[in-house]
Amino acid sequence: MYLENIKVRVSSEKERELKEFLKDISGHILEHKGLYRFDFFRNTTVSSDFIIQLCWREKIDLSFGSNLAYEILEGLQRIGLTNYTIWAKEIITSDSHLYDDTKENAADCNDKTNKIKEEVSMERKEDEKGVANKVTRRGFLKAGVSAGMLAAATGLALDLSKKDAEAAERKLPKKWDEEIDVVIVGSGFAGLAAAAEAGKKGAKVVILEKMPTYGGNSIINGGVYAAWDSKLHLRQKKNLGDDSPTQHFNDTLKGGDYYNIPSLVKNLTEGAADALNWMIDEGGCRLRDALTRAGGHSAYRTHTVVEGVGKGFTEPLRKIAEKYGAKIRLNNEITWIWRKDTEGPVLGVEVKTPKGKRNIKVKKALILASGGFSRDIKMRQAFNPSVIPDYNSTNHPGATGECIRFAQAIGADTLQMAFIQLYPFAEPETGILDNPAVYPFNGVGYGLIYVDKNGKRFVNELERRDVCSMAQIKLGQKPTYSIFNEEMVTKMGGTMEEIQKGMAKGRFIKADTIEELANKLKIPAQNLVETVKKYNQYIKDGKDPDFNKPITKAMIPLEKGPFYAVAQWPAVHHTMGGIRINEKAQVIDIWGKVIPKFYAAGEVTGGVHGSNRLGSNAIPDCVVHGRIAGINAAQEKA
Amino acid sequence: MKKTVLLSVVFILVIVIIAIPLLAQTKKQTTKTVAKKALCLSCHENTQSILPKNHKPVSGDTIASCNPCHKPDLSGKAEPRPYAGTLHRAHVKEGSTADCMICHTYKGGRLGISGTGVSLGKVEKEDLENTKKIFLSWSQSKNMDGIHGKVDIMCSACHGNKLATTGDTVENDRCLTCHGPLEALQKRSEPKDFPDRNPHNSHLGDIACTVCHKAHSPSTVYCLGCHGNFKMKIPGAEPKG
Repeated sequence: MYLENIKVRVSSEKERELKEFLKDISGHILEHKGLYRFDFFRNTTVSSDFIIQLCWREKIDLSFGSNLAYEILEGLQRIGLTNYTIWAKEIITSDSHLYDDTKENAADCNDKTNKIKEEVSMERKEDEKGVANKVTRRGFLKAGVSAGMLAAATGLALDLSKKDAEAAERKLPKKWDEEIDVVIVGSGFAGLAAAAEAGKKGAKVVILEKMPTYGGNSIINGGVYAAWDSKLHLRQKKNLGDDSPTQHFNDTLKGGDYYNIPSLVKNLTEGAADALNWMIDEGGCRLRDALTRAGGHSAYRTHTVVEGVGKGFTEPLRKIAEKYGAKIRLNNEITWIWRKDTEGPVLGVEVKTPKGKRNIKVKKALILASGGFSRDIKMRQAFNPSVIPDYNSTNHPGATGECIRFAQAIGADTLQMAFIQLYPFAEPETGILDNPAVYPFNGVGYGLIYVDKNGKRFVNELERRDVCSMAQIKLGQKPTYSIFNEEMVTKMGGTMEEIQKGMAKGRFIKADTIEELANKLKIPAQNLVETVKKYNQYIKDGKDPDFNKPITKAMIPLEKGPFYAVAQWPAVHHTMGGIRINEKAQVIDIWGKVIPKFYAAGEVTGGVHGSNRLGSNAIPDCVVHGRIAGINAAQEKA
Repeated sequence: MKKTVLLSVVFILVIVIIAIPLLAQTKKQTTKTVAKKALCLSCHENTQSILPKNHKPVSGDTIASCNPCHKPDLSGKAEPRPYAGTLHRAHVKEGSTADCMICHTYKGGRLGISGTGVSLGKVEKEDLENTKKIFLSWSQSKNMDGIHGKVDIMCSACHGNKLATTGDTVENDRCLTCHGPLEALQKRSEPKDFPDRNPHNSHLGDIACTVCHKAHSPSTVYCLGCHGNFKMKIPGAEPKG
């Protein structure tokens, strides 16, 4: 028997709604082949938590979980229940008391379950009158399931369905200058991965890149990749504990405050390991012999590429894409997406090339992989005025959001545009994410700490990026510092060569003692010495009473020198919001329908990361969804 | 990026010593308005005053006088062309009233050199005006074209033996014919303080020279788009004002 549990936190007002929802979908759930039983009961230990339990007769993949569970999650999200966790396990039992014995007392649970079941059936009787309502809700869910997801109405004023909607009207080109199977906009992780897969499927692929160099933000990205496993099995070899796609899924949702669209997160967490292996096998990607635990992750799952920068992934991807015939055209900027009406497919793109304007017809599909809008101050301000223009940005100058607007202009829906991430550890002066700026992110799982100008810790270093950034900003004193020692360097995926280079540039400060380090940083030595002393004790005690950081066995106390410091300050880094896609990477319009022949992947899309992206989740998001988009695009009819 | 129109006409010019018999033919090939000005001496007092020192005396009064010795070079090789350079710099500079058609022909959409049957390639009529603008820039600008113009690097030295058209670019190999090999160039531009801040050995990989070095508009250091605090200079940059 296989048991899947979804724990969902429900306020007393929402309880009734949850029960109604489960009642409505119970028929649909029970239709599933191989499902032995479906249950729903209150958690005995935390009364605001309910457990939805699926017992499977047929084997399910314990690491990935069942599709049904994800469908239920999306349903929960639609009724506004977003605080949930999912886990699955195999159980050996001969009877029907199939509860997760680690979490619940079986007998107690059984009691409760029956009780709730009675309640549900009572309410069901009362509700029989409202049959129409029930049917509608069922229909609603099913429609949602078949389309992968449902778009919420966002209230855009532009009515593209009216013929006289002048604002939306642009005359279609009379002739096409060129016809291409699959046109991809953007040459970063997502665009290259899409090109590789579409090319492999035999499509003629062209990547349009507006910048004079390929790779966008990806080629300057920090080069870290979250996956629960890889063919190198670093976690297992280094004895760094357990992990699974489901655990990664839960972390990602929690880190995004459950704003994430579960089916997209599932794509990411399930596809991450395979995509990594693919880049290793086909592209010659090489990983460092290190695995780190990054903020917001509950496991050591962050891989670092040998080059220590995103180029270590873009080059293998480019190699694969070019092997399958994809061509990159630099200095080619799209200026419009052609679509005839609100029902029809995307027809093509208008492109500004060095040789003048061109209209390209897309025979199979258009894939937008054009990245986020961190460098578009006006757009940032429009969606989130708190991200003031004064902030630096880690992004390349081309990270502007025009492609999102082109997509909106032909009816594409967007979501969560206000969620803009600050990278907490950028170089304070320019905001770039240089090599030393990756250390504060990679080091926390091995005991690296953050201190302010007074030599005091100010946050749980294993917190999410938004928390770490805000904690710094609230200090009001720029910059803050990461403190680590030499022993941590290779463990966190660093190298002594990088340390030397960083020191030459004045980025890393080295000292033999904490006191000396404090003096070099011009922060009160006594404070820093005391902070470190206290902190070392916390590591030994396995408990951090100041900030409640989860102490792990892999963490090293700051006892043995030499010690290093690196200055850091938040800079605009990632835009979580963007174009709405379904789990097939198809772009969804403002009415919740698929826009035919239109795909999107990577930072240009919204909903994968919720309110806050976990560090090292960007590359797997881009590569996995790029692959999905590429495969599906190539299979469209020309 | 504003890509300036590149309409380079490879004016590889020629002398004719035996001028008079060919003069009639030359006039036929040129347009009426131009034909009136076709004589060097309609502007210059005498031929000798415009020739370099030690140049042997020239008889005749048109470009045709030069063609026999200064034969049209259609090789498209990346090398300086002092004759063509000198002639063009003198005639295309700001304020010059000289018309291209004094020495060139334009027939059937093809640009040629008076007194020869040589075709330099096809060019659209409206692009002829752009060609003039490019030549003006080449003759005096602070951009890379001006820098190259001073040392007799003509259009063909970068663009090869076909007339360049709007949006044409120049491949790295072409630049490296004179400025390479790449390893040597990298060595020369390696900063002493931070060797890895070498603009010719970028972390972005094999990038086009033209990302930073623009011929017909000001050059810009692409690195500075992110690394605003680097102190990097580039020839042909926008003059500070």
